[in-house]
Parts: sequence; structure tokens; C-alpha cells
Amino acid sequence: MNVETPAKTSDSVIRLEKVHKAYGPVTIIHSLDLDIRRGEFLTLLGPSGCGKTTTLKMIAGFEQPTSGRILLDGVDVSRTPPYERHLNTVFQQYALFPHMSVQDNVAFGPRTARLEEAQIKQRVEAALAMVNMSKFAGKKPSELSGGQQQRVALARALVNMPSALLLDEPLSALDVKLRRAMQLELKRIQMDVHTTFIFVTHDQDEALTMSSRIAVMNAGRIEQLDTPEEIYKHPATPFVAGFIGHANLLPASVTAKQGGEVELALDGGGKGRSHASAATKVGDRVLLMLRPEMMQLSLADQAPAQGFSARLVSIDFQGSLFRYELEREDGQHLVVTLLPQHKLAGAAEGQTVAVDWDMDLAWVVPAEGPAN
Amino acid sequence: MAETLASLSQFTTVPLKPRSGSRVLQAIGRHGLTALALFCVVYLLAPIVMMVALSFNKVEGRFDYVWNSFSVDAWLDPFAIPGLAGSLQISIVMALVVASVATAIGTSMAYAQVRYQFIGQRLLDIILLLTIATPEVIAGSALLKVYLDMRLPLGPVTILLSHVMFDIAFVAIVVKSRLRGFDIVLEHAAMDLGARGPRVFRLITLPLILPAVITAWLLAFMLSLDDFIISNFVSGATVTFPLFVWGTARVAMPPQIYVIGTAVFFILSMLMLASFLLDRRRNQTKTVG
Repeated sequence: MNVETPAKTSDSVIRLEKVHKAYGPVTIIHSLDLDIRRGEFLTLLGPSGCGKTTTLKMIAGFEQPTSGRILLDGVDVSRTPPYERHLNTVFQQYALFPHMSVQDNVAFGPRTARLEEAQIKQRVEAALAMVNMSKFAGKKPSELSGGQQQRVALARALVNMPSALLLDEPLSALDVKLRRAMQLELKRIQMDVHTTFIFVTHDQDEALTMSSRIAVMNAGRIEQLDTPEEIYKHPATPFVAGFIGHANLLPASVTAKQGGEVELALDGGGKGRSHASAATKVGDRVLLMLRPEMMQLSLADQAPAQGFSARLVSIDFQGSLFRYELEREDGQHLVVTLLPQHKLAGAAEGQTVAVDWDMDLAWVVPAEGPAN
Repeated sequence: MAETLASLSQFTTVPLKPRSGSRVLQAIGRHGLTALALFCVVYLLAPIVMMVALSFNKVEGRFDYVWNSFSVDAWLDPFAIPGLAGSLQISIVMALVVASVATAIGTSMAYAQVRYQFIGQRLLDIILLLTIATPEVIAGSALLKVYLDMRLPLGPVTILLSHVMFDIAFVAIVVKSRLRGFDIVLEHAAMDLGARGPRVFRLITLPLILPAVITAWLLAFMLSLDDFIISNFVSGATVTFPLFVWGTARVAMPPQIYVIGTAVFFILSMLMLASFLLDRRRNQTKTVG
């Protein structure tokens, strides 16, 4: 084993260095680097099969990396079994022990660590109080609802005060309303205990609501690691733009650049301006990202000076907003949403409308993902 | 799309399947199944009922396979026949040891087979099935040959070795089916909370598969208790209960044998029922919610 001086950088709890995972010829994780900061709420977000759960399992110790290292508090734990890592997991289906009471479930970790009985009792009480489950201490898991089991699973993990808490899609089994409530509760608890949370989900809303940082994963790679707001506003790749929220991605070329702003010529007609990353250069092929809520529509017969024109395909009223589906001449579809008070009066399906957008919100992403 | 709808709308609603056959035939069809079920129950219970009845028979001759009159004599003095008590004791002690050893080995084997990947896994399945499928006469004579070659004295030890051998397969198969339905995530959760292998098995796995282990133990106990064929080959001078019954039946069939048979049958039935009910109660509390 590679003995490392435990240079405990206060900033980093867990560090993945060139972690590679393959099952036979199939590579699941491609040389992943990730630095998880102490006390943060980091979400691994991606579609199923992107490698997020495998990454979590390698951190927990249920899977071993094919190559690369995993450091926990500065110590290489790549080959350390799960029971020797100061990490605890909340499993997808909670995995409460069905033959034990809530209390005994929560006490399992402290008892295994041979703490004194009096201390175990205190810890268990505090953990159950934290998740509002004190009343249920004597119940069996089967007597609890899904949300309550979820809380017990959380208490059972946090009672050990791990270096980091790993959560493997813990909310996916709950119904929408309960999930929403648990998201806020999880966030509250995380701020309470100041423990690092590493959360795995495929639900982008969940990720945006709870995380301090999000790592968007796709096909075994991290495409972007940033705050929710940055990821939503300034996606680094077409995949991130499309996966987080709804995005209309219009192919274009950069015709001019000044500071952080670019002028674009849209394929299939139209032009406009957008913000862009520093790396964007004149002549680059890009995708203009327009979120449905950042555009305006107007009735116009001819092509506008700024923006482009498109044909209205459908108009749907969705309660809090109107949803317009448009088709450009080159066949590309896009979606625009407007608040009811800004709806396009007198518009009918089949009509041609002018599309404009808020330049401050627009963003361009490279047409090709960064080569890594 | 519109065209498809238009062409489909020219049809009328599909009629329900018309009744076929006469009412008499339908009645037979309906009640025939009940009758068949009843017949099966009677068929299966007949030997047990006969055994219980004959335990209350009043004996007049030596071969009393005929009903004379009702009597509780045999129940009041079940060990009147010389040698019966001794043979029963040997069989019970033997079955206790055999069931416990076979359950320990069989459960470990089942655990290894379900939890770990190793070369020869499928082969082991086949070997287990072969042990069950081998005719007992063959197994018995083969075992006898082995013991004679090894110069093992025939007696309790050889009986134990033989019974454990054929019980392991039954135990492994019963426990394996339970382990397959056991969620490995529970073991992961325990490991995640700091528990090593032995602690995980003792506190999580074993309690949860216990009903199957108990069932397997009872099955092994019963199979050992009433084994005749293999014991007949390898017992030497030791007389187990089935061997005693066989020996006695050639000269006389005293009702005491039925008394013991009935008692053993009811005790084991109660144990089976208890383990079944225990299992069901656990399952019920597990599936709620």
C-alpha cells in the first residue's frame, strides 16, 4: 500500500485521484478526479448508467477502483473495507434491519464501535430527536411509513458522526410531496450537523434545491462541477445544458466578441447576442442556449433585426404559464414559456412570430464537448 | 390515425364467449375438482389415521393387523416391549446430533453458494441434487463398503456419518431458497455501520434466515429419525427405532409401536406448525408499509 503523509488539508474530506473503474472490457468510470470539501453538500447528478452510484459505492468501499486512489481525510482508503471507513450510507431502500426496533437500528453503529451503554443511549436519543422520530423509538421498521423509515435511516447513519454521509438516491421511493418536504429537511439537518453530504440523484430539481455544489456526470465522466446557479446559468457542455432544466440549443457561429459578450449568426437565419465563456473565440461553432423562460415573442411579418422568426406549432395553457412550441425554417423545434400576463394576444397556431431574448441571460456552449 | 379509427368503428362490440355444454356437465366440472381434492386428502391421511387407530387396538394374537376392540392399554404402558425404549432413545439422540451437525454444515454451504462466486458453484448444486436422487439402497451399500475399507467399526459413528451426509443436501436446499430472497443490502448496511463478517452474520443474516434454518433442522431431524435403509447397512449391532420396528414386525406388531409412531408424529407436526406460524408472523410484519 502506498503510505501517504496524512497532509490533512482542512478543505478536502474525500479526494478521488484518477479513479478508473471497469468491469472486464466495460469502462464505467473514466479517470475521475474529484475533491469533496469539508461540510459541503455535494450532489452527483446524472442519468441512470452515468456512473454516479458506482462512484458512491467506491467511496463507501463496496466497490474497488480498477486504478487510481481514493483519499479519506488524507489517507488512501482505496482498498479499505467499508467497516474501516468513517463513512456512513443512507441506502436507496433504507435497508433498515427488519427484526430490530428503530432504537436498536440506530444503536447498531455505536454498539459495534463498543461505546459505553450510557453514551450510546444519549447518542441514539439525540439522533432520533434530530429527525423527529423519538416517539417511534420502540417501533419496528415495518410499522413506519416510507418517510419515517427514511428518517430512521438518516439517524442510523448520522449517529456515528461520520466524516461524510453518503446518500444513494434516498428520496426516489417517496411520493412527490413527501420528497419535497424531505429535501428541505435534509438540507436543514445538513446545516445543523455540519457534516459533508454526498448525494446521488438523477433528479435535477432535487440537485438544484439541495446542493452547495453539483457534479454533473455523463458516461463515466464529470462534465461540470459547480454551484447549482452556475450550472443552470452557465453550463459547460451541451449535455449539462440539456440535462439541467429545459434548454433550447441553437447551432450558431461566433461573428464578433467583446469582453464576455459575443455576436452570433444563427444557422438557418437570425442573429443575436449572448454571454460566453472566456475561451470562446471568433469563428467558433457554438450552441446558443435559450431557456424557455428567457425569451419574448412578438407578432411580426418580417424577420426581426435582432433574434429570429419561427412558426407557432402549438399553444398550451399550463396554469401558471403559457407554453409555445415553435418551429424554425430549418425544422428545429424550440419551446418558449410566458407568464399569463405576458401572453401573446391574438396569436394562432401556424402563424409566424419574432423571437427575441434577454441578452444578459443567454449563454453559449461549445458545439463539441471539451475533450477529456 | 383518423383513418384507423374510422375503419375500426364499423365493427360492433365483440360478443361474450357463449356457454358451452349442458348444465349437468358444468356442475360436474365445478364439483369434480372439489371431489378430487377431498379424495387426495383422504388418500394422504389414511396411513396416519390407521396408525392412530391401531395404537388403540386391543391385542389378542401376535400379528394384530386386525381391529379387535378399543383399548388404552398400549398408551398407558408404551414401553412394555423390551428393547423399544432403548432403540427410541438411540434414534432420538442420534437425530438430535445429526440434525444439528447437518444444519451447521448445510447452512454454511448454502451461505457460501449464495454469497460468493467460486469455481464449481454449479457443480456443487448438482452434487447436492445427486445426494438426494441416489437410491438409498445404493448409497447404503456403498457407504458400507467405504466403512469396511476404512476399518471403521459399524455402529453409532457410522450411522451418524451416513445420516449427516444425506441430510446436508436437504438443509442446504431449504436454507438456500431463503437466502436467495434475502436482501444483501442489509448486510452492506451492517458493514457500513462498522460490523465485520462474523458480527454481520450473527446479528443480521442469521436472525433473518432463522425460520428456514429451523425448518431445515426439523426436516433433518425427521429424516434421520425414520431412516431405515441406509441405517440397515451401516448400523452394525446398534438398533435404531426403525430397525427395531422392522425386527419386531417380523414376529409381532404390538400396538406400542403405533403409540410411539403417533406420539412422534404429533410432536413433530406441532413443531412444524409452530415454525410455520413463527415464519408467517415475521413475514407479515415485514411486508406492511
